[in-house]
This record gives sequence, structure tokens and C-alpha cells, in this order.
Amino acid sequence: MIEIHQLSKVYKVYNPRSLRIKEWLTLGKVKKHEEFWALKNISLNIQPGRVFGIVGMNGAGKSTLLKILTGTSTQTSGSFKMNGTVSALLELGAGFHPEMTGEENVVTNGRIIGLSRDELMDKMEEIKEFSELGDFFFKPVRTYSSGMYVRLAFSLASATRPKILIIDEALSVGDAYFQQKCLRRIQEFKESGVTILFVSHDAGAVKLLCDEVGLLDEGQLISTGDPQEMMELYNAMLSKVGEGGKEYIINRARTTEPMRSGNLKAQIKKIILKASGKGVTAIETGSPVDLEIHVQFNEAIANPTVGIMIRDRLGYDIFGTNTFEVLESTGSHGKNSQTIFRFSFPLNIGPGDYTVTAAVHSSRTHLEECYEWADRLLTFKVLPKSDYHFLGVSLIKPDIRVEQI
Amino acid sequence: MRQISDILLRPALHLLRANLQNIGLIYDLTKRDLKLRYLGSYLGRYWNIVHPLAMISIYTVVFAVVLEAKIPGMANSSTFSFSVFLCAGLLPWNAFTETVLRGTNSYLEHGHLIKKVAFPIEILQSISTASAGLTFWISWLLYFGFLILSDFGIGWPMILLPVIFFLQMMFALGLAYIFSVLNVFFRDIQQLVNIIFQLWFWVTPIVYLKENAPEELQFIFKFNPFFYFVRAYQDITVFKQWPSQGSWIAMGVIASVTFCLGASFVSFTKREIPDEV
Repeated sequence: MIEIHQLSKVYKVYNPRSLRIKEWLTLGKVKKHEEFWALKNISLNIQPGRVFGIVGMNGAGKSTLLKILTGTSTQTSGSFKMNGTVSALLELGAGFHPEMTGEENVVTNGRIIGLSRDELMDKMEEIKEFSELGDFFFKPVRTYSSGMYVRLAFSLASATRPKILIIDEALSVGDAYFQQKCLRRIQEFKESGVTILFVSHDAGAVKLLCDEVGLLDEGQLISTGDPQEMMELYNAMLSKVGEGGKEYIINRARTTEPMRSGNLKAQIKKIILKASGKGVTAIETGSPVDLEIHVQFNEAIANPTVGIMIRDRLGYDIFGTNTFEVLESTGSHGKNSQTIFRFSFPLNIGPGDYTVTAAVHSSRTHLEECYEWADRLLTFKVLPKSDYHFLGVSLIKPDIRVEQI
Repeated sequence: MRQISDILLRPALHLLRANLQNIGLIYDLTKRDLKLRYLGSYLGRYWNIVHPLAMISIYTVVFAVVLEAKIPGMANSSTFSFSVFLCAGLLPWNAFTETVLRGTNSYLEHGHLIKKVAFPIEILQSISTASAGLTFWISWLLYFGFLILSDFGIGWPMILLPVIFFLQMMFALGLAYIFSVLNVFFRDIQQLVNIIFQLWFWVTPIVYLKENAPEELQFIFKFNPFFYFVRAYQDITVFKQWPSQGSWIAMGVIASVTFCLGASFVSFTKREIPDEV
């Protein structure tokens, strides 16, 4: 269990650095520093066995929070309580020395993170096994590829089963195969009742692992809730930053309502999925469809980008593209005009429930100027094909030949 | 009285406790430190011996051969006896400077660890101290063997060596604490300490005898804390006599006061250090 109560952290900023001498010389009677609040009154309760995700932009205070919880930094005020052994997957391999072998690094770093010598000897074989380094385990770390480095570090850091696990961006490195292996191990931890605090930018991993997500912004926990919802809110915040932060609208009456954000210079009025000219909500896999997005321009805009994203029921991105990637130009649009953007394609995705998110923005991504971003505007169902069965989300039809040798 | 104990004694006791609790970790990290130092070099750990040997040869040639320095009060003073004299001061001095200079940089050197891993940062200075100490004992052992095999011989006062060395390292560790903390906040300290130690070396009678220094400069030695240590080393080896009571008191006071002062530096800035490295 993790209990955080009114946690705050203030950094003293001395600019220039020499101001510190003046403060020291007066024994702190003259204050010369400026205060920077990295965390402001964070309160949080994480129940045992739950996985709590924290998302937020750079500088939101995520790392500061984790540093305080793991003990590398101390809070200015407030308190926190954690029951049981804590292990942290932060900055994997921070203490590795390039000239030492993998094995030697495991020994010293294991000692540094607080494992006893006996524990290490017990786990050594398992660590070696999990890292899949083979003979490289006995070679200097400087000869490793960055993927191997992370593999070794992760194997060591996750060698013991803690009561509480703190993970920071650990999974964003390494190859896909090992990432999955890491995720599996974390999931094993989760299933065995380890309380996990997880910080990541990877929406997929957050949605997959977390039971609950907290959104951190400028040192404050602005919202906590369901992962899907929080990731949408986070996305909306990102577009706010892209615009310089002023006209920022979040429309969120009910959670089933689409999440909308942007400066509304252009608005998505309607979105329709059509098959052979008629609106549909369920359709057989592989059918040709038109996805129509009706956009109203509240100001004259030249060459806007309209994008779509199809997500599965877990919120994973299945397919997304936009006009910027496909067209040279989308033309000029006058004030108060309406335009239909029609995306026509065969619906080559597997049976299941999907949502469509659409956005209108000024250039390639919504991070620059976002007119409107609307999540889950439309849901539709893909039905299995009667003449061809397959598994997964991609409709691929291989030619299969059987040759006798 | 109460305040003094809060400011000086309590941090020192805390530090001693932290070091004892983590003795296994210090041992492992010191081992790594020694290993890393000459890793990849052909002679490896033998550099620990080559270094002091080279230094002693250079000073012996310059002072005993070129400048014809003599050691007063010593029968058949020769080039050989000069190097005996030289070692007595130089080997401890090397350990002293290594401890302080490396200690000064210890927080910054391990910055990546301090920032990322929850870790008893009070033990960092102990690592360089332990590795400097070990290097000292290796070179001293050689020196010791050398004295026994040659006709110079050793006397009973030699048994005090561990005590003197212990006090010296306590002094060195205290300085390392003070400088390492300051160095985190003001990075110029490292450079400053380097220069101070250059100067300090020459105002300490290591390569020359106190008696050979001009009369009007003799007062400097009184204010040079390391002078008492060097004198004690020279007493127990070169002159085969027991160090005076005065020098014991001086060494004891210097060591304990510096250590306690350093400990309070560490304990009062401990919270801020990970944020500043």
C-alpha cells in the first residue's frame, strides 16, 4: 500500500549560484533564493495490489515524485508511507561501469540497490537467464548494444519480488521482444499482488497495466481516474500546450461523451461510417467503407489537416492517418464553410468493437495548433467474414502453397 | 555544551553508525574502486607499487644526490638513509592527499548514483579513504621489509604506526567531508583544494628536515596540522623514538575536531545534496 499525504517539494534556486554564499554567510537570515515548487500538496492512496499510473508532461513533477518515494530526494513538507519492500526500476543501469563485465556489474549494483550478497548469489543464474545475454554476461558492459544493456539492467532490477514496485519509463527501451518480456514480468508481479506505481508516456502500456491513472501537471495532481479517460485528458493537455495554452476547452459531461479539446477555429460536426453509400454501425471485415468527417470552419483556414484514429476496445491504436500524410493540400476553407473529408478504404481489421477519434489541426500533428480533437466520436463493430476466419486485428490473406521436398 | 554535542557529536556518531551498518557495501565498493583504477592496464595493480617507487626515486635523486641534503643527527648519513627518511613522510602524505582529493570529488563522481538510487550517501568518502588506506599499507609493507632486510633496522616505536595512521585518516576523512560538501555547491573547491595541497606539501617537512628550514620560518610548522603526523612517522621509523606527548595531543585533537566538523557538514546538507549534484 502507498499512502501519500500532502507531499510538496520546493527547490531552492540560486541565480547566480554565488547568492548561496551570501545566504550561508548570514546563516540563512537573508533569503537570496527563489523557490520552485516541483510538487504541490500531492495526496494519493494506492491500495495493495493495484497498479497506479502517472502521466504528465516533462517537468510536471513525475520524476520528483518518484525520487522522493524511492528515497533519493527528500520532500519539503508532507509525508508518505509505504508498507513493505520497495524496489525501483528507474534509470536502468545507472551505476553500471563500462569496463566491468555484466556479472561484476550485477554484483556491485545489486549491492548498491540493497540486495544482500547471498540473495545475489541465489539470483545470479536467474538474472543471467532472463537477460538472455549468453556469453556476453561475462564481457565488459562497454561491448554491449544499448538493448543488451537495458536487458541486463532490467533483469537485475526485477530479480527480487518486492511488495511495492516503482517503474519509470523503463519499458520504452529495448527491442519489442524484450519489451514484451518485461511487460509480462510486470504483469506477473501485478497478478501476485505487488502494488505498482507506473510512470510512462506509453499510452498502450499504461492502458494495459494500470487500474487507475493520475494526471500530473505543474506539480499538482489534477485528476485521477480510469486509464482510458485519463489518457484522453492527457492528450487534450498536449494539444493545449501546442497552442500556447490559452483557449483550452475540455468538454466532459459524462465519460461516454466524446472528449473534445482544441481552440475550435474548426469543429468536427459529424462523423459517419458508410458502406455502399449508407451509414452503418456494424460491418463485415474487409468491406470497402467511407469514413466521412464533416468539418465546420469558424475561421478562414488554408490547408488544414484532418486525421482519424481507429482504436480497439482496450484503447490500443489500430490504425491512424491524416490528410497531411496522403494529400498535397486540402485547399482553402472560408469562414463558416462546411467541408466533408472522406476517407475511403477497405476495412481490413479483425472482428471486434472499435472507436474512431478524429481531429482537425494545422499541420502534421495536433501538437502545434489544434482546432479540435475529439475522442471516441463513433463506435462500430466489425463482424467476422463468413468465408475466411482469422485471428487478430489485421486482415491479411496469405497465399499458401504446399510443396513436397 | 548541549548545543555543541548536537552540532558536532551527534552527526559524528550518526556517521560512524551509518558506516558500520554498511560495512559490507563499503567493502564491495572499495574492491570495485581498486579494481577499476588500473583496469585494462598491463601492469594492473602493480601500479600501486610503481607509483610510490618512482616518486621516491625522483625525490631521492633530486635532494640527496643533486642537492646533497643531509639528515642531521644520523650516523653515516647517505643517499640510502635519505630515502628511508623520505618514505617515512611521503607514503603517509600520499595516502592523506589521495583521501582528501578523491573524497572532495566523491559526491560529484558518484552523482549518477546519488540521483538515481536510494543509497547511503554518507559512505561515499569512506570508499576513497579505504582504497587510499589499502594502497598505503601495501607500500608501507614493502618499506617495512626493506628496513628489516637492510642494516637500517626497526625499533619498538614502530608498533605505534597503526595508531598514528588511524588518526591521520580520521583527519583526512574529516577534511574530505568538508570539501566534498562545499564542492557540491561551489565547484571551484576542487581546484582550490588541489592548489592548497601543492602548497601544503612544501610547507611540511617531508622532503626536507624541519631543522634545515630557516629559523624565521619555523613558526609555520606549529600551525601546520600535518606537521605533527609527519614528525611522528619520522620519529618511529628514522629516529626509532617514541613521539612526544605534545604531538599525541595535537594529533588527537586535530583528528577528532576535524572529523566531527566534517560530520556536521555532511549531516546538515545531506537532504540537499541529491538535488544539487
